[in-house]
Amino acid sequence: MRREIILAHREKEKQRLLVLLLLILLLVAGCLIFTSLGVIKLPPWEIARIILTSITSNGSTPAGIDEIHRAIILDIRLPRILAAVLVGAGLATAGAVFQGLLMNPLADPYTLGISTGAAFGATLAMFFGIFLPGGLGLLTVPLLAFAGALLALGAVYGLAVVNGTMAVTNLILSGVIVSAILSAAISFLKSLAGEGVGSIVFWLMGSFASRGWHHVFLCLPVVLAGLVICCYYADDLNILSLGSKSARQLGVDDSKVITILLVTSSLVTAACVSISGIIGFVGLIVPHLMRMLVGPDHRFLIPVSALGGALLLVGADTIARNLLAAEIPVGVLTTLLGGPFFCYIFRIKAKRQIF
Amino acid sequence: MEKAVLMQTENLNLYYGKTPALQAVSLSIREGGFYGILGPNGSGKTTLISVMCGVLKPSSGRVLWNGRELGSYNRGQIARSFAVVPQDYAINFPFTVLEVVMMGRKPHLGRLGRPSDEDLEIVYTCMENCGVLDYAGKVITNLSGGERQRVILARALAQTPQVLFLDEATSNLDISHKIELLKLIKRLNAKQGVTVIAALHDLNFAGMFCDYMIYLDKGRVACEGPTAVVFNEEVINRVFNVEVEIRKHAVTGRYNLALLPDLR
Repeated sequence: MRREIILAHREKEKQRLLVLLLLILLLVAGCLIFTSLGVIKLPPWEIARIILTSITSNGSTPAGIDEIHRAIILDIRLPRILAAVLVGAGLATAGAVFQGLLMNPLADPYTLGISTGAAFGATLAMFFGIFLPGGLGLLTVPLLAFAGALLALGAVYGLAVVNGTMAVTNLILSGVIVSAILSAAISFLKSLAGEGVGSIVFWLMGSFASRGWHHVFLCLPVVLAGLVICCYYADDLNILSLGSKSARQLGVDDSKVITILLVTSSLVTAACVSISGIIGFVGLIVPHLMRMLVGPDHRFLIPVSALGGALLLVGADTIARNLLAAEIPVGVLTTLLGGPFFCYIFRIKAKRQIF
Repeated sequence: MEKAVLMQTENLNLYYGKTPALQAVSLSIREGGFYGILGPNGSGKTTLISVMCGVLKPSSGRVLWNGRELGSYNRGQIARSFAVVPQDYAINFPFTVLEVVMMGRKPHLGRLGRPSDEDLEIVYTCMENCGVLDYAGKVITNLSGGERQRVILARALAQTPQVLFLDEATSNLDISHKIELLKLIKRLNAKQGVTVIAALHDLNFAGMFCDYMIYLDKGRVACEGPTAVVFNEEVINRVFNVEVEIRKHAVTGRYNLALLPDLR
């Protein structure tokens, strides 16, 4: 019996590592396949060759590779695919962390109003036609969205901290309040925007259309650093689910860990939203699905969610740009396709628990 | 023979806002003792335990452990030596029983450390002792209150503590689970010399298990001493304001309490 329990535990550890590896492979393969799909179809190995040769040779097109194909892959499709990967990974990571921190499976990256802040920043940029100087022109909307997210974050934390301590319920409530005010402000701007309302509405729905390398490089450092930090504190997050007091007794510096994780996952959310617009569902549902797959241990849940989120969003974006002649907003698609799927999973799980 | 002093509190005061929760609490805890902290609701039992295990900082006064101030130890040292069993836990995520008990090993592992076979052995033994081995793979959110409480005790024991604090840990259990749990703790206390500091509501259980009693009333120590001396009608009437009769039981040799309410 003793041996069996230890072996079973080791077996479970192995299984979870296997899921992690499998997802990495799936994501790499998926990205190659998704990149190959489009108006001009190329086989996945051709994509791999183009990417590999572009890393080894600098600038010049090597022999045997079509210059136009190379441009389509490297300048148009790849940055878009990578943007979707980053945003999917970032939102799912932030979702898993928020759910763990707020001890609420209903929490998602948007619970604290960060997305509304970003939307407000982006709306301002579009409404007033702001164009940042100094070569940042193309990044005006993402940068203002990021700034808006940071301001919303500051306002939410400022509201939630009372006498130097922060209660989780206060945090959620402040998020709701700030979010409501900013939503009203966005609606106000939309009502004044007249003809320009289309671009605002389209941004709010979330999309990866015409996202380039500058978007990728804006998001990449924040998402990667965020993922590393969240994984580093994942074990503390497990202990925190016993409650702050018990966590402190187990040697976890609870207020430090909570602050670091909240700020980190908020920044990750802000970076994601600022390049993609508001894409719902990924941050809420992916952590749930992954929890069913690997259990609630955040040391696995966080990286697995990141991979799952990336895979889901990059897949959804591929459908969004290929299914119809006109592009479907990916945020709409994730929820339209993912929602019913989740309902199905949810029913199965609910039935199993009852009987 | 008197055992060495393990912990001391010196003139502890703690305020929640302006409300005093502890006032001038000075105690010494000897190694290997089974201490009961008794008192009515709101008398400061939980607060005292939180301060003694380092979770709350007192407004003034000191807690000494092995003669050194508690604040001068790092979190890890404290977590490897003290464990607390709270009254109840709300765990919202479907961790398995094994995973929860394993969390007790956290202070002994590095941040990215993987539990060794030895850690797993300790976890196994703690689960066996607490009678939760049968549902090692079950999910904590699906357990009953009594089962969950035993898992939490197993988690605390997996810390292999020198001092075990019970914060009304048995209040939600039925009588047989209560006895089983306290017997288990008493065994650890007697055999392995674990010092136990338990806030208890049930005075009969306190009389049965504690060697030493600390009565709190409105944040002050109302009375303290060995059970044989301070477990008496006069003290209980003064602290709890109830009429009781206490007798030494002929068979067990332990003290039993009978309530004498005015039923007229």
